[in-house]
Order: sequence, then C-alpha cells, then structure tokens
Amino acid sequence: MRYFLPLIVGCALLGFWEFYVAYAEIPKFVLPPPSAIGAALVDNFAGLIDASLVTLRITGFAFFWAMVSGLGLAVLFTRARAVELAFYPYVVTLQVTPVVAIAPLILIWVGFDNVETAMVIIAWIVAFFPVLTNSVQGLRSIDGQLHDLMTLSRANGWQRLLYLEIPAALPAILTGAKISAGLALIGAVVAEFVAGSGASTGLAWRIIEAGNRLEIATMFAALFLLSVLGIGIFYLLSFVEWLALRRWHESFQD
Amino acid sequence: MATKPAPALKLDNVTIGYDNGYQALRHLSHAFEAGSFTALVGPSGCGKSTLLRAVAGLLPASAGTIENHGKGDIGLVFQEPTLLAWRSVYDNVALPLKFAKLSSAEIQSRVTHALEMVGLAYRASALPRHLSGGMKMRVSLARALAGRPQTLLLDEPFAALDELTRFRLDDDLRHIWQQEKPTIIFVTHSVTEAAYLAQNVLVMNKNGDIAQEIAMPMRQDAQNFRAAPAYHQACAAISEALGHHAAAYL
Repeated sequence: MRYFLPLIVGCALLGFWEFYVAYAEIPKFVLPPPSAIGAALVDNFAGLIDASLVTLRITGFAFFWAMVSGLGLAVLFTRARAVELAFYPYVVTLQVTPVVAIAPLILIWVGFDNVETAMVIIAWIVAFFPVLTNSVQGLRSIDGQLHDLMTLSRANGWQRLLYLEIPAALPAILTGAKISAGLALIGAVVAEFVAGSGASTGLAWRIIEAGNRLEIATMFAALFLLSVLGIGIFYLLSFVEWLALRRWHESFQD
Repeated sequence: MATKPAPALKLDNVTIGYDNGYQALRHLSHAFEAGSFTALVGPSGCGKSTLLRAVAGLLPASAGTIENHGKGDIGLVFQEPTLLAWRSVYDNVALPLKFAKLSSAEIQSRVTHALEMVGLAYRASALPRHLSGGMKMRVSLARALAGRPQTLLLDEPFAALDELTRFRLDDDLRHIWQQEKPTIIFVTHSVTEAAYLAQNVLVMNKNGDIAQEIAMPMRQDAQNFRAAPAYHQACAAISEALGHHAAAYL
C-alpha cells in the first residue's frame, strides 16, 4: 500500500496531463505532454547525464565543505564561548545575505576561468548553516554528567571529542547533514543560474538553455533529473543515518 | 598495635561557593579513615553532592583544603547510570582504562573482573538500552570499580530503583566493600539505606556543614541485619538527627 497508493496517484495525474494537453490543444512550447518529455529525456539522455554529473559534483563538493566547516566551527563554538561570541554575528550575516547578490562578487574574486570553484563556494554558503546550528545544538545537549565522567577519566580534548561529543551529537549532526545536502543541491542550481556558462554546463544551465530555445520538453526532462538527484541524496543520507544510529538510538527503537 | 588508621581523605575547613554568592559548603572539616564506609544524609540542597564533586576534583574549593592520601584514582558513581549509549557494557567499563593507557590484557582482566563482581559478565556485549535500570547502575558501578579506586564516591546511586532491586544492590555493594576495602562515601536520601550500609553516618544541615556524626553498631548477624533491633535503633537515631537539624533551619 505504501508504494502502491502514490503510484496510482502519479499514474492518474500523468494520464490526466496527457489527456488534457491533447484535449485543450495546448501548444508544446507552453506545456508538453508527459510522452514528449519522456521522448526528450531519451533523445538527450547522454547530454543530460553529463549535465547531472556536473551538478552532482558541485553539490558533492559544497556538501563536503559544508560538513567540514560546519562541524569544525561547531566544535570551536562549543569549546570556546569567546569564539562563538566573536564570530556568530558574521556567520549569521553570511547566512541572511541573499546568496544571489553575493554571487557576482565571488565570480570576480575567484575568476571567470574558475567558474566551477565559484559555484562550489556559492553552494557551500547556502548549505553550511544547518550543519553548524544542528551540530552546535547537538554538542550543547550532551549530559553534563557524561562530561564529568570524561574529566574524571582524564580524557584529553581529542578523546572527549571522539569518544563522547561526536557520537553523542551524531543524531543532530546527521539531521543537519540531511538538510544541508538538500540545500547544497539548491545552492548548486542557484550557482549555475547566476554563474553558469558554456564552460560548465550542469542541469540548471541546461534548463536555461532549453528555455531560451523554447524546448520546454527538455526543460522538464532536466527538471525531472534534478528531482531524481534530490531524492537520491535524501535517501542516501537517510541510509547513512540508519547505518550509524540503528543499533543504539531511540529513534530506531526495535 | 591498636593505633587509629591514617585518614585516606581529609577535608579541612572547606568552603565551596558559586559565582552567584551562594555557598554550598561552609567551613566543613572531616577526616575519612582508609577503608571506611561513610554515608552522608541531609535535606535536599544541603551540599551533599557538592561535597562529592569537590572530593572528586570536579569542583574547586573556594577556601580550605582537600587532602587525598589514597594512592589510586577516585571512582565516582553518579545518580544516573551515565553510560555511553553507543558502546557495549564491556566497552563502557573499559573506556576509562583505555584513557589511562593500560595494556589491553590488563584492561580485559580488569573489566571481566569488575563485571563479575556486579554479576553482569554474561551481558558484556549488550548495549545499555537493552538493560534494566538496575543493570545499568551495576555497569556504572563496575566502571568505577575497574579503575581500582582507593576512594569510591557514590551520589545517590540507587535512588531511582525499586526497593527490592535497591536492597540487592546494597548487599552487593557491602560485599564488594568487604572484599576490596575502598574508602566509600555514599550520599543518600534514605535513612534506612544509610543505616544498613555504613559504619558512620554524617548528618548534614541546610547550612552546608556536618551537624552530627553517628557511629553505626557492629553487625552481629550480617545475614539478617534488616530485622535486627540494632538496625532499627540506628534508623531511629538518624531520623531523629535529621529531623532535629533540618527543623532548625526551616
């Protein structure tokens, strides 16, 4: 039932779409029928897969750096209150400033011959905040007695981090990672919109290109692949979460 | 021959204050004999836990000195089991030993022995979430014992357990103490538990000081101590002291 019901709804919607476009004689450059989108997907398959890989690469790097910087900063913040007080306003500023507005600056600084690096930076700005806030919250919620236990056992800073803080905060860190991975994809699309060029052609760039040529079916095909990427990333991280927490965490209680 | 044993732990005029000016302990002095079993009772907020944390070195004393003459480490058993949920029973007990850089053979023998003492060797590979509350507390006790502490501090360790489980853990703790002879300071709310376990009961008042010290009778019949008149008299004496010293500050 869990898979069957959504499948029925999806088929019904697609059927209605196909029928209505033909019935109302809507032109193909306004709303193509699903069959035309499928055909566009098959016709441009190689090119669209290449474009998907570009977008996936930008998303992947942005997500990786978001995790490294978000987690690193979170540990610094929770270890030293002064660091948090000093840097938090600037982190928030970076987060609330619309990234589209900063993008041209980043492009100029990184250079037009390094467009992909610029895109990774833009996507990273979008993605890193949830990792930071969730990790800080996770690290802060650790039972004080567990910290006392570490002190009493004479654990050094690294041991405290590795044996207590990271595992205890892992559920929160992974929640942040899930949000961040989704945002990294959104960030990659935004980055392609504002900085993409013929030099680096991801899925979002293919959408703009197809739009300019009024190849609406190809636009939908690229959009479909973006959704597939997003769903894939979400389930991959849910799987990682399941692997890491299922043995001991309450949310996976058997 | 019959000289008094040297104190393992000596508190001299210890005052512990917090940043907001509240003083949890005031000019507290006491010497704990090596290998003695002392229970600490008193009204809530009288500084019992503060005293334990200070002795464990988790809190600095604002004034006065705490001398620890015990050679080994200090073991502390918290109110809650305080186990790492992602590590097995064995790995929880082994962790402090690992930090102390003991050899893996030494760690294994100590962990196994400690788990045997609390009767949990057969659950060594279980995760904490699969244990009952009493079992978790036993693991916590085993972790403290595995460090072979000369001083063992327990902060209301069995307070959250049902009475029958608590009685059994009390017996186990007595037994372990008789075998290993650490100096034990046991904080409890329970008058009966203090009377049952300890040689000495310190009654604290709301002022953060020791108001009275009551020596418990020697046990004639260890098997049936809960039914013995001496036990009931001890309970009555502690209750009366508690009532007297708590009432003075109501």
